Amino acid sequence: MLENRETMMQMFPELFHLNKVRPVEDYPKTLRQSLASLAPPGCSGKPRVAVLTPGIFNSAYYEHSFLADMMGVELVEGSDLRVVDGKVKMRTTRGYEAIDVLYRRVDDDFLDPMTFRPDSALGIPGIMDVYKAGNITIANAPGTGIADDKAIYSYMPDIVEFYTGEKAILQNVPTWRCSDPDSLKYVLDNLADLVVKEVHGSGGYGMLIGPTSSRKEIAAFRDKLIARPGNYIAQPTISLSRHPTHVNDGLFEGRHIDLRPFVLYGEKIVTVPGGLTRVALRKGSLVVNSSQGGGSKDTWVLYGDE
Amino acid sequence: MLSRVANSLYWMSRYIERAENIARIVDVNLQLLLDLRDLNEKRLAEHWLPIVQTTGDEEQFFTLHKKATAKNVTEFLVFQMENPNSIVSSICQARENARMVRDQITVELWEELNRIYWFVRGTEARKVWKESPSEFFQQIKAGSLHIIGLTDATLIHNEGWWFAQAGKFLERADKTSRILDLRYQTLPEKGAPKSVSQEDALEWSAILRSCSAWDAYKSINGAEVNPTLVAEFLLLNEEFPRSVEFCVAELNRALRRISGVGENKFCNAAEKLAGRLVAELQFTTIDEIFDQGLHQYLDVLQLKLNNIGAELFNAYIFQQFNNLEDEIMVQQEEQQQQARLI
Repeated sequence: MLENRETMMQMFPELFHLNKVRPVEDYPKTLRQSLASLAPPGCSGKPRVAVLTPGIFNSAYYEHSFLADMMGVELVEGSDLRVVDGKVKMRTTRGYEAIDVLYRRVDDDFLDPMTFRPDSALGIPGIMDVYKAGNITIANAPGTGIADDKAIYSYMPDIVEFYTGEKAILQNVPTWRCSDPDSLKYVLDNLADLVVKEVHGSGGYGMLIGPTSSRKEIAAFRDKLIARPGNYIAQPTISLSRHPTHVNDGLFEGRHIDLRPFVLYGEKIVTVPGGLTRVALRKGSLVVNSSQGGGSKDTWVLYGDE
Repeated sequence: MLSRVANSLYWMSRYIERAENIARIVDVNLQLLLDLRDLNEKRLAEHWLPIVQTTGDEEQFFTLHKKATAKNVTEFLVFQMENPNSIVSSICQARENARMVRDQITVELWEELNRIYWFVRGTEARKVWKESPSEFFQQIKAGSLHIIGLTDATLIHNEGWWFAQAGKFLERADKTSRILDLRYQTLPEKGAPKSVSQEDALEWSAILRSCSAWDAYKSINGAEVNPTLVAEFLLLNEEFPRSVEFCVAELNRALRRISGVGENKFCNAAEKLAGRLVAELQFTTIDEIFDQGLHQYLDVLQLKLNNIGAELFNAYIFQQFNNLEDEIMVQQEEQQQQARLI
């Protein structure tokens, strides 16, 4: 998001004057404030925030480093940290210094070899004990990864209503949980028209897009579905919006896009006036994921006439 | 500053300095061969083996090669990745360390490191090497000096920078002492040599040229080259930037800038040892050194330098690091983590 905006501003500065685009450059500052506001109650003075990265071999390492740099906080790896006197501390040239809020970009499973995967070398042994004792804030909290589970999505209207007492404003995409026998029957009967996804899948892998798949592919997926129905959800094929996209030789063609908004939840909820528009660069493709050759676009929210 | 970051800056500059010094050593020795007559196989082995010994990697060498021939030794010191201290290995490790602290260094420095990295990793290096080894070494030296210049002129001179300085001067002091040790077998065990043959003089001036010291030496000692004067210059000259005394004094200064402790005190063992070594070098004469034997003295000196490095590590960096097997696993796990864009 930030780099897209920077590139656009360098290449087309005049567009930003003409269109009154809201800035997104506050994002790192807001993120830092949100993180600091989450500091554990025992924290005295200015909370110490750090970004935890898996390391330089992770494909998003550059992002982690960029974000830490923009926020003006330390970028740490598991090997920099250890538990000392009930606090998580980082090894600095001046000795061990405590961390109050850890913005982690390491998956749950790898966070603490003493609690989760015992063979993980990326984690910090004992960090979960410190977490449970309330001496460090981990953001996002361990366990929140469940929100990535696609079956959760099907409950969103209920969740919204439960917490707000109101119906959700944005409609949900109809979603069938294949663990439910009636839904499974419907999905199997209509496989050629549906998109089927693994509940814990990501990156556009392990999914079936019915309308663009061969009979053979559909038949193979049917077997997988029957074998482990609880592992899948199904949705109608959404016709994602299309957006004129530069393909080559000065040619523009429509490509499918989706929008990833940035919402920060600290003391209050802040929605960043911008976001990451992901674009499927292959003609006709609905897969926008960057790991499968998707691109991204700068996204504007305008000031309007206020 | 994170210890890992300080450590990476330290090793980035140490490995660059190492690559440059290996280039110096091999370059001068290749040129020296042109001056030597009577090159039978035994004579050649006598020439090349000490060069491997100089780098302290003799054991590793003989696991890879049977004989110390020109081809084997240069391959080992220049290209071989199995030798962790070869020029190419050193440059790779310098870049790897820089990559870990990419946000702490400047674009200019990163780009130059990358350029030299791709030069030695690509086909170009072998081509240049084949056509003219000395052109190849020229490029390595120029690359290293360029990086040193960029480090000096574009990086902020903060704590991390002083770690880089410490790494550079420690490595340079060590390498100068090793270069000086190159011809110890021609020296008496104790005391200075009585007479110097023309061939010996050529070899000792090759040692000077290895350290870019020829011009500076001449301006002080004239054209007379003998082991005592060369050793005095490379060990005890306080103004020549590659002499051991100069390097140790700079190392000591860097350590004190890191801790903020004054010249006549110390707050950790690295400072204690560095301060002591500076004093020792300042209050030693070359005759005393030859009295105990140059080789013996240099051996002890290298040990002292190693100890300073080890104590620096203990004082500022030490934290359980992973062993190689863990390291491989770490890398795989790093790659597995989901990549999210911001």
